[in-house]
Amino acid sequence: MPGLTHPALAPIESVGRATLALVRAIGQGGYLAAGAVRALRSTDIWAPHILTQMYQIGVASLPIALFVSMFTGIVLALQASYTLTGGVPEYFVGTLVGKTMILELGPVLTGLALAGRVGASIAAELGTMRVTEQIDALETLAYDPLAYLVVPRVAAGLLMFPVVIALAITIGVVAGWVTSISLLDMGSPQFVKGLKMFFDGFDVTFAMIKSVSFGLVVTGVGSFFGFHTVGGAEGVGRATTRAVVVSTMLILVLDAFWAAALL
Amino acid sequence: MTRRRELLVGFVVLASAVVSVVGTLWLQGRGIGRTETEVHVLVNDVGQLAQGNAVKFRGVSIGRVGPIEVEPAGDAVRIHLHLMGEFLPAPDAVVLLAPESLFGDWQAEIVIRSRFPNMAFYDVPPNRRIQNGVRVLGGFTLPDLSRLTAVADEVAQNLAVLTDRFDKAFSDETAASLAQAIDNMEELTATLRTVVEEESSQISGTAEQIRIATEEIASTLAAARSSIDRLDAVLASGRVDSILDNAVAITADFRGVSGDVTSAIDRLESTLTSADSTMASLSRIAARVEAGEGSIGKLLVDSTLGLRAEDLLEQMSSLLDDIRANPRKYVRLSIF
Amino acid sequence: MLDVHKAFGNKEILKGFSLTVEDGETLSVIGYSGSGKSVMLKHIIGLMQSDRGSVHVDGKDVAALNRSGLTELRRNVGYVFQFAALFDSMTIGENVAMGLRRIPDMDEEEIEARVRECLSLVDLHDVHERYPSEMSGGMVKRAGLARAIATGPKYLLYDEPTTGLDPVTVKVIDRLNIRMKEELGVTGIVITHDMDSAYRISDRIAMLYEGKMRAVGTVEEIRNSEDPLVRAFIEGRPELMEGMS
Repeated sequence: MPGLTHPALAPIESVGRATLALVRAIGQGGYLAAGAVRALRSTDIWAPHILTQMYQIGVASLPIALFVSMFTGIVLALQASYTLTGGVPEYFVGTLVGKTMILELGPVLTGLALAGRVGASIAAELGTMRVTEQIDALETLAYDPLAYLVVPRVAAGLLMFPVVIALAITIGVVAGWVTSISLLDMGSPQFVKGLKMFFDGFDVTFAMIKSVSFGLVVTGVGSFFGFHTVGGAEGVGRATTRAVVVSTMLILVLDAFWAAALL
Repeated sequence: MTRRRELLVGFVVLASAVVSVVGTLWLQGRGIGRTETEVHVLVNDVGQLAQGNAVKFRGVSIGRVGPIEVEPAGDAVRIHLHLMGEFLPAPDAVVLLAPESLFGDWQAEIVIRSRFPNMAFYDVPPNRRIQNGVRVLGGFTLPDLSRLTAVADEVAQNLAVLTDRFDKAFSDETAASLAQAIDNMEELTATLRTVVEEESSQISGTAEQIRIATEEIASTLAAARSSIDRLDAVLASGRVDSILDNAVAITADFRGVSGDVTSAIDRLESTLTSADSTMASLSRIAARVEAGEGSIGKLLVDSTLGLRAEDLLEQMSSLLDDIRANPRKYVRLSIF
Repeated sequence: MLDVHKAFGNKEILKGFSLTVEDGETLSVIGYSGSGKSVMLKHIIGLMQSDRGSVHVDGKDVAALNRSGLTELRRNVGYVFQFAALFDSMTIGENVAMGLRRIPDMDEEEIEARVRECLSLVDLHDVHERYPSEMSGGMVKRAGLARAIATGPKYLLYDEPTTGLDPVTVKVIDRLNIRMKEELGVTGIVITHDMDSAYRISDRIAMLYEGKMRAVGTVEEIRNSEDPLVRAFIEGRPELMEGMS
């Protein structure tokens, strides 16, 4: 189409290309998701690998998750006491640490840390398998690669993210507590009073709902980019980066979504 | 290898489950394996009370507020109270729902009805007082809280300023001035009553609206009173940590009172009678303070109370002067 | 294969490719790099779907097969990948056993025995517990072959089985090819650049050029082909192609 090469049309063209790429990605994602759901039937293929993935995604991620949340708890307590001066009672430090850890920072920071750790490793592993034809090899050996590779990872993510995040929240709150009584001039009963005062059982449910959705996003996005890797080692690198960037963004978007939908 | 992984995964999952469940229960204020008594409260409306708020008895936290639901007939709200251990409420026990502090959290306090003759506690029919072995008590929610919280802000600010100044020791002089302040307050009440009597003869025709306003006053006074009771209990039990909070509450309550005085006059006499008794308990506290009872030592450090009482008196004095000077200004325009 | 078309984006790889492979024969496919040989092979086993045209195996249209049909087909087809594509998280033994585990009623002992048998067929011994990263390229390739033949397939698809191997290993693999055909009656399709090897193992040779079948015939026919393109390729003389395109 020689008549359509005017330079002024270039921006429109790039918008169109971006839109098409997005639509294609959504389509491929949906296709992958549908395939994974169908692959659930092949229990014999994925069930033996759940444990390994639960270990990889859950247990092996604990150190980073706990590290992140511990320091978050400490900083929260220090900053809360710094901010809350004047007429606000001290026990609000406990309230602030508890509420923010449970509702927001515990799930989101852990989710982001795991997006870097779990999402990247899934994308890199599946990407390497894709470019070295290992995924094709699986197919030729009559394995559904979705059942063999994607289902155990996503399932382990759904199961283990809440587990890791629950522990991370606990460590964060305990770290805030210890900080309050050791570094701040504050008693344990006050911290606990503040912690309990505005606590609502729903907070925990909310955190768990978030965690499950983050688990789905991180493992699903990692699998998606790994699965659609093209172009050798460079392609694997690109897939890994994209997986981390996209799942990070999706975590934040989902975070806002749940806050709007459930609170 | 596989076994070790199974073990680790299992351990992590179980640890997380235990931590979540135990943590949630603990934060909700429920014990595990502890006996718990459930008591229900019927009330017309619950104000700002929410699940998880403290249940108090004589100032001591004895449990938590459980689920709150509207009765099927829609004529009342049922509040479940989860009390620690075995707790048998007195036959004429009722529940007063009120703010616990000025920061928005509420409490349910189990009290004896006869102490609050002016409050319209929910009247539980005799055949519903025990349902499925659960005691059902009547409850009453202190109205007028928006006003209370509005002053709270101001009070909190005053408090901050005051506490900054109070590095001075609590001397005998200050103790004496507290007593003096309380004496003055009684005097003030008497004067106030006189003023009211004078005014009431002029406005006898507007009984109905005024009656409503008076009820508000009565309950506000009850709030003041319960605050003072709390202070009393604090002094007796040595929980001086929260004196400051209570002092704030008292000030706020008194402000509420003075605010309400401007809105109604009829039947103020009876209300003032209870105000009198409030003052009496203040007197009692003062006597105690002077006698060195309770945690006087701690109180000495925090001399806020005396000075703030004076501050309050000053405010009330000027208010009274003003009432005397322009009585009409203090009667709601809508009444006339 | 009938009139198969396949494009990736704007790039057409197969432009109406047709080929028939008879039962029991070994057919070598030659052609320049990037001419679509691997793509063609992947269509046979349903790893790729054609944009146009159809691929039939045993009279069944591969594109129309459902999941279980495809599984059934794949059990009968062994695929030897260009770079072996062994699962690097598993030992060689586990790799070879992978296909066997998909066969119902095969117990661990039978699998174990079959794995040993296949590994010794490709002259690999004592590599059971080793990981692919610990072995040389030739050994990895042979292990890939062992994995492909483990399930006893009727068809074997080889994607450059001898590229990059030393001459001795090339001979070993060629011998294995012939043995598969003669002893087990396996039908083979071999993609290769190695004409010596192609002459040794093939019944027929086909040449793929620019997405279409350029020439097909017995070893003798190809050897004596008059087509300058074919000659250029088999003799490795690019000057013969000049003026062609």
